Amino acid sequence: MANDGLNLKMSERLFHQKRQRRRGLAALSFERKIALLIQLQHMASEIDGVVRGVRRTPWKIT
Amino acid sequence: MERTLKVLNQLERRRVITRYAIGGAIAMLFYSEPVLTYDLDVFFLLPPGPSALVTLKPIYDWLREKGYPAEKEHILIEGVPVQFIPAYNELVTEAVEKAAEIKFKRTKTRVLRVEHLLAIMLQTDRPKDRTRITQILEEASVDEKALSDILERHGLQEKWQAFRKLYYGE
Repeated sequence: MANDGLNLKMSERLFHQKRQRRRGLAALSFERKIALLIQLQHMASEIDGVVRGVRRTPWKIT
Repeated sequence: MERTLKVLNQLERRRVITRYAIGGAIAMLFYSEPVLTYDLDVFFLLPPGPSALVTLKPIYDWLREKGYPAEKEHILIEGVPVQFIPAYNELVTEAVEKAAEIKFKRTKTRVLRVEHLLAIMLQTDRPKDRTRITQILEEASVDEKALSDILERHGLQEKWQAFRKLYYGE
């Protein structure tokens, strides 16, 4: 198809950007990553509660 | 988290354990983007004792006295479920011995070096370990020579080649 080349180029660019974003996240400080992890735990816990009716408890740290 | 690490350091200072290092998903998080986990895996070495049998009882007893309750396979320390895993083979023992000293805020701790982490994941070889290996290889800076030496020392080179062939067609 005529658009195949364009779609391929676009998807390559998107995957490249995603890779860059992951590497950027990997380069964050350990402290910042732990803060993000706790956010993830809260999000996942909400979803668990809705989907499975069981929630895992996010870390309660100060 | 910092308070949890302080308690782990106390365990070491009180010689309940000889040495510890963070492993598992939290060690991985040190090197890669954040991934979901609820556990803090702590690998540890015990002081030499009369029995060859490894028991977690001294750790559990000491922590219970300090007010940290056991919950199934975890102990809840300052809001973080910690799983204590004795160094169960030569690779894990070496990984704990050579773990990197880091600081979390103002508290010192140790985390397994990325090369040991990769070797342990390769040895453990659960589906989630394979996923984590590919993620680390993409996002972290790995010392190829150090990794190769570890794999060689622990008889994992062949497994590593098979892994590379399967996932990267090398």
